[in-house]
Amino acid sequence: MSAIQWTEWITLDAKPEPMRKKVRGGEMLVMPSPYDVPDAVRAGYDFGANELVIQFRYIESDSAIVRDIRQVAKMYVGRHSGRLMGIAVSVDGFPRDSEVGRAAEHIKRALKRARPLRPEREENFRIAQRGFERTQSRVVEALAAPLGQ
Amino acid sequence: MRTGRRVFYWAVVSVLWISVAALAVIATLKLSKPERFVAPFDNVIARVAAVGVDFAPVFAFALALAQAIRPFLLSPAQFDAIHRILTGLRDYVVGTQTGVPYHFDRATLFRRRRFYLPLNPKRWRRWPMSGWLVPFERSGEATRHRGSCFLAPDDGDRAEGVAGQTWAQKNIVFVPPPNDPPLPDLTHTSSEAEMQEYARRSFVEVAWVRQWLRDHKRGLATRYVGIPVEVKSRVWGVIVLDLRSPATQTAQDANLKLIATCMSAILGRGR
Repeated sequence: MSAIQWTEWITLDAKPEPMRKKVRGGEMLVMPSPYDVPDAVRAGYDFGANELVIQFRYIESDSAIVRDIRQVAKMYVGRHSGRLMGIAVSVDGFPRDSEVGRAAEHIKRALKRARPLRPEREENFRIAQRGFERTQSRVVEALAAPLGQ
Repeated sequence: MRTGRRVFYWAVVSVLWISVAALAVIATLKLSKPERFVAPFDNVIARVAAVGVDFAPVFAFALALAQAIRPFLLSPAQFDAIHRILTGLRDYVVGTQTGVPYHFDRATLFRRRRFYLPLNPKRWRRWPMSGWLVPFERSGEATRHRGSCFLAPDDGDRAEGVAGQTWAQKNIVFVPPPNDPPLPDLTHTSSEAEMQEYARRSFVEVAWVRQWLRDHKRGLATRYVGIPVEVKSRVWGVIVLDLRSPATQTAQDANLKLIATCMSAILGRGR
């Protein structure tokens, strides 16, 4: 994710849901770790690769590894944490006003298809997806603004 | 334990600075020309320089060793900051309650270690290489020098206690769930059935509960909250809130994200 023109960070309203679990006869309420809940998202356009990219921000930063999502998009996953760091989708050049919304929809679909590399990160992927869906309109707005549309 | 950590930290820092100073002095004396000084200083400088050169490798080794150890040590200021955060969390959740001893409710930071062998042979219950959560720092001023260690092996199914379960789940854990009845309020006269229920619901062995009550002659917490702490994107340890008095605030209301952020920033500093 280099040479990208980024928007400002947009606060994510990702409300994690608690879940009851039973372990060896004892019950507990489990809430996602604060490290698994992204607190902000930003979008950007990669002029070199012609890609629209979104990036999530967490408490702890991590270097990312890239994986394909069914050859239609790329996901950036934390090397040590396995968390979803970002999603990139190919676009046909600089997105115009109407195309920004469509590209955001494309990202939303890619987020739904993205599968974690580790099973324990399932909830993190779900939270990131839900958070993006809630803030999608603000991301589109922010993305259109710096591109002068 | 606290004093020991402080002494060790200052010993390493002292070795580091003494080695730097000694190497600087040796280099200066070696480069200086003793014949330019008046007697008896010329002789003294020449002899000190000659002896110093012999000791230079020792100082260089000490410097390298201290420099290698230093990033793994926390300074007293970092410990103080961790202590304040834990005390702040405990105070927020419990609030000010008159008539309740302060140490009834505690926040403890546990560090995960691959190897741990307690000093007391009575506590040699398991293989020391199993993976353990060992108390690192605690809120308040009482009961800071002792604490139980919990099994936290790679096989999460065998993790013990709320600390172990938090480690295994790598998530925030409430035991029992907030709207459920609290764990039995045990004393050393409690029945075997109550002890068994407590052990089952808090993921420890009955023998551990029995031993605790026999050794400490005081009750165990009735509610627990476990919070994972990460450093450089890896789980470093856990914070466990153990509460005996009815809390005025739920831990869910506390800004656990902010606490986790501060902990990671302090523990990860210099690494």
